[in-house]
Amino acid sequence: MKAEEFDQYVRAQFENEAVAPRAEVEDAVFASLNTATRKRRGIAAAAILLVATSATALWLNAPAPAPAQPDAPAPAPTEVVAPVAVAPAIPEEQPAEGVAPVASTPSDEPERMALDSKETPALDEYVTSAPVAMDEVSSRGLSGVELQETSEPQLQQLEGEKWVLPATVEVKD
Amino acid sequence: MEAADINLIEACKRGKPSAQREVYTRFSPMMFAVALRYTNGRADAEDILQESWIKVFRHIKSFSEHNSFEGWLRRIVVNTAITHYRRNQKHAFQLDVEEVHATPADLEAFKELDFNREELATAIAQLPKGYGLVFNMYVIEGYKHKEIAEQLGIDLNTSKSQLSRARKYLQGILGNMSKRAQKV
Repeated sequence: MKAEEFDQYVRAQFENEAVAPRAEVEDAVFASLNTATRKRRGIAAAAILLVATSATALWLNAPAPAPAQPDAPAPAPTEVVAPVAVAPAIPEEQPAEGVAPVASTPSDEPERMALDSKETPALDEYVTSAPVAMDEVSSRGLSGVELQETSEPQLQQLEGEKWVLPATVEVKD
Repeated sequence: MEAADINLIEACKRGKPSAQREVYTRFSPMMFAVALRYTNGRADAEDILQESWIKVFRHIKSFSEHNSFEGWLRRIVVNTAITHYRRNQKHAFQLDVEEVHATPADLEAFKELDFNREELATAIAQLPKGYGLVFNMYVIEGYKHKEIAEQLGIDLNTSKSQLSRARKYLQGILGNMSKRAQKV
């Protein structure tokens, strides 16, 4: 008998082989599966808890967002438009006399701070001097600069702040 | 594979306990028989069966319905048995399989084979462990020598020589069994 025949004979004998195991094996298999499943679920729950805790901690330690600014009606032009827009046209050798108090310099900062304080007289002085300064600028005949006064300066009071509106300067090429 | 079997496996993939129980009931006898051939006793075979089922349910999502489910299960049992053998072996595998046993009978002595499954199983169980592993894997499970060499961590030629020796050794055992039967 050849080796292949012998192998085939043995293989045929073991086809459809079956031996029933004890019932205890089944219980052991499913007990192990349940334990493994519980472990996996425990690990997953712990992971979720860890992520949630980390996210909460990050959220609590994050810097508080800046308080929302009140919606003021176009505040930007009021304070700085006239001096800042005019300044480039004026040669540095000839500073405009009336412009100086309004110009945006480091010394201007205390005056700006005064807007928020209770020093209302200084604010009034500042506000009323602004148109004068603009007139002086106009009278010096600065080339390429035309000052348009659309209306009388208006004072708006919003939450304790005063703004001057409007003052528009057009710069010609 | 039948549609019902595919549905059953799909249910197992979803982790449905009743489907897992049904699959276990259907295939455990086959798997246990395979495990018995690779071990010396029922206790070891039960350990291998339990370990195999845990692997089956843990990795069943990787099973493709295009393949034979029974073949997949058998491979898991064999791999588990090999791992079990390596874990428990007290002597090096090579020492075990390199033993050369003279066989009183030759292949040509058998004109006809007249052994049933139990007799063959008893004879295979008497093979040295290394011979038994290679013989079981090649002859009964249908592994190639390359796969056996990789699984057992031995040389390809070693696998071939072990198989040849295992055949002769087995035929010797069967010859003795046959002589005893004639005397009785």
